[in-house]
Amino acid sequence: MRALAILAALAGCAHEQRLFGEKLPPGCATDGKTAESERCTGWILDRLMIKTHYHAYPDPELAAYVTDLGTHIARAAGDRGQWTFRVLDDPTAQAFVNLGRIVYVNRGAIAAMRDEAELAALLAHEIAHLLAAHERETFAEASRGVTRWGDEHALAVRYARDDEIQADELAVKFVAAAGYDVTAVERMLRALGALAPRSGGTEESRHPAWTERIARVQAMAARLPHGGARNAAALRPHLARLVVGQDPRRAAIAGRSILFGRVGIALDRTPGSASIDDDGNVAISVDAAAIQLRVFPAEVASYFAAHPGDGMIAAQIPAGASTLVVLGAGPGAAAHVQRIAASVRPLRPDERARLRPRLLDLSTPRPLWPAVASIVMVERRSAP
Amino acid sequence: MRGHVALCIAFAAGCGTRQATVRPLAAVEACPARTWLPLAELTPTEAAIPDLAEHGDVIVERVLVRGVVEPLATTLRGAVATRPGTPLHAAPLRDDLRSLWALGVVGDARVAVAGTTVIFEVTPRPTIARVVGQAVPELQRFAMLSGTPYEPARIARMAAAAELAYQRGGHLDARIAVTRAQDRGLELCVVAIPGPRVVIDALKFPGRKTVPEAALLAVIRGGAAFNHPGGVYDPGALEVDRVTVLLEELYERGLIEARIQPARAVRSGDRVTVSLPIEEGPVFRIGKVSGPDQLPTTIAPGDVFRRSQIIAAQGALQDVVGDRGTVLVRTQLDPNHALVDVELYVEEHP
Repeated sequence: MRALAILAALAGCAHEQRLFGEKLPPGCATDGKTAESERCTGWILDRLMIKTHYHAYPDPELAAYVTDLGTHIARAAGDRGQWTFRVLDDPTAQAFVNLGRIVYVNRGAIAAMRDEAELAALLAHEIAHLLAAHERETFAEASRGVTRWGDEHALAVRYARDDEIQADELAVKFVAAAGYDVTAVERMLRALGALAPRSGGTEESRHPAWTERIARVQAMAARLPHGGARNAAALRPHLARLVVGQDPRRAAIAGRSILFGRVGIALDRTPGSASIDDDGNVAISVDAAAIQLRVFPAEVASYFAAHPGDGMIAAQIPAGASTLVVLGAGPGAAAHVQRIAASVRPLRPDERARLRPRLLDLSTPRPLWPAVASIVMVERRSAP
Repeated sequence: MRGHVALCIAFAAGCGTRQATVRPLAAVEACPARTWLPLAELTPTEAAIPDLAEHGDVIVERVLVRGVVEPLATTLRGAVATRPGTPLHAAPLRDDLRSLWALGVVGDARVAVAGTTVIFEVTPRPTIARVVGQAVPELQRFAMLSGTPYEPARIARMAAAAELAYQRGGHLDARIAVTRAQDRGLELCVVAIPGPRVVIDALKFPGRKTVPEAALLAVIRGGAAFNHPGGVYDPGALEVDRVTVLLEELYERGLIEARIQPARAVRSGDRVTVSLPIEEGPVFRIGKVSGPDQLPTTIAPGDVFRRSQIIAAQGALQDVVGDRGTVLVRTQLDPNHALVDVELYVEEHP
């Protein structure tokens, strides 16, 4: 996607020792040493991702809880290094890790967990990827422009699958060492499997089939003592206020208006069809023109506005600490962009009151793979 | 253990003996006193399916899995096609055994038949019992194998990755040897033999005529770290540069028919001389220039053909054309006279 292309371009600016106004960590430089480059590259990628693509989920208590839990797991795994854990405002059930020892977990993934042990298992899986150096070789090769496994696609897929299996098995070890129930990894996998039952195991998939993953962690758990903690009570308060699905406060379409609740602005759009993606970005099609509306931190927005892309034009509208960037391409795009930019106004109180996110419904039983989840079952209750 | 680092992980007996998947080295003397054997993949026991002739036409009424605890037994039962109500035949049972092996949790599996009951007798994969001491970061990843299933293919891949890490540091001859032994459980010995650190003595471009050597060295990535005299030799990165930045440097000098052969490396002890043979070909110049009336003057007939200048001319004309259309470039090569005719034209927007 375009953001990632800009990400690659922006990374070149890091040699100036600052990125979006933030100074690079001490010692970060292109000295050719793998460990140093991983840390610095991880930091740069992290800042690029959270400034240009992802958003932090605005729940400091949940963020602190996840950080404490993740750190506990890392220590139980025998690692004494520093970790960063980020909860992302994304409804999809995903988690991933950055070579800079940064673990990202979407609120959508947390919503699928039911006790602290399962969440610990999710974090343990990502920590395991890093401690087992799964991405290290890929990164080291890619940082020199070499894609050693790229020409051997089937081999790359097979290795990626084995990495997932190993991360699952190590996660069982880590959660057991941390005092949690050894079956937590299996339950975590079953919860995620219910949301994506057909993912994994296909010829192109880098994830193994669920059956294999479940069998492997069951076999691993059989090697360890049972009876660890689940601690549902610790996670429940966080789940009770967890937003599910798209958050209308990021962006919402209300009749002919588009409301950006988090930054307190609205605009009355031109005729055409509008849609909002999971990231809260708005796309409008007007005749043959395509318009995008995206909210960025102010320090990032000026770059996007100055480099809108081939054939595109841009306008930016300040909105507190953020900026709404309006991008347009195609015939007549310039006029539409100007019209949209001119229509921006403060969000009215009655509009803000209508932007109520859906919260997780804990009263509904959670489906576990091989049963398939129904999103309707999960997203039931609205915030008061 | 001069130059060696030993890491011991533990192993159990009873496995099949297919050929080793990792090179064993004579350096097992770096391991503690045991009988060290090559890594070997687990293989199915022979006669895993009984002779079914004596059972006649049987419809299966019950399927059991023995040898593993619940809930794994239930999972394995769900992975086989043989179910109550299916006929008893050897071919489906063989498929079922393959399915069980494919899950990666069995160390051995066989089928027994008792009347109308089919019993899958499985042995779990052995566990790597113990990890002792890892003194270098490149081998630290093996420490986490303790307590996990014995997977020779995975261990071999980890060893290959560790070798690659050494090679990137200039230890081109680096080898990671993995052997197994049985002593109070499954034991594995991992030895790293880095070998000498090899650096580039010289980087040459035989056949080079017009392009300065310094210009070519300047575009090769790595600087003092790699792929420059004094740095380590990274053949993969150099190959990428060969087909990208090095060729681009030649193209920018009008050498649009230039070829650069793959690198050849000649070792002498811990030094290596790397050559990239070049066939420059003629310097191409711009022949005719044609286009719309607002033609920019940044390119002219007789100029050396440089792609960057063509792109700049295209951009300058696009600034004039604006939203009305897109400026495109057409070129016509005349190899006999080393000329390139350039046409800039506008594709109007609807």
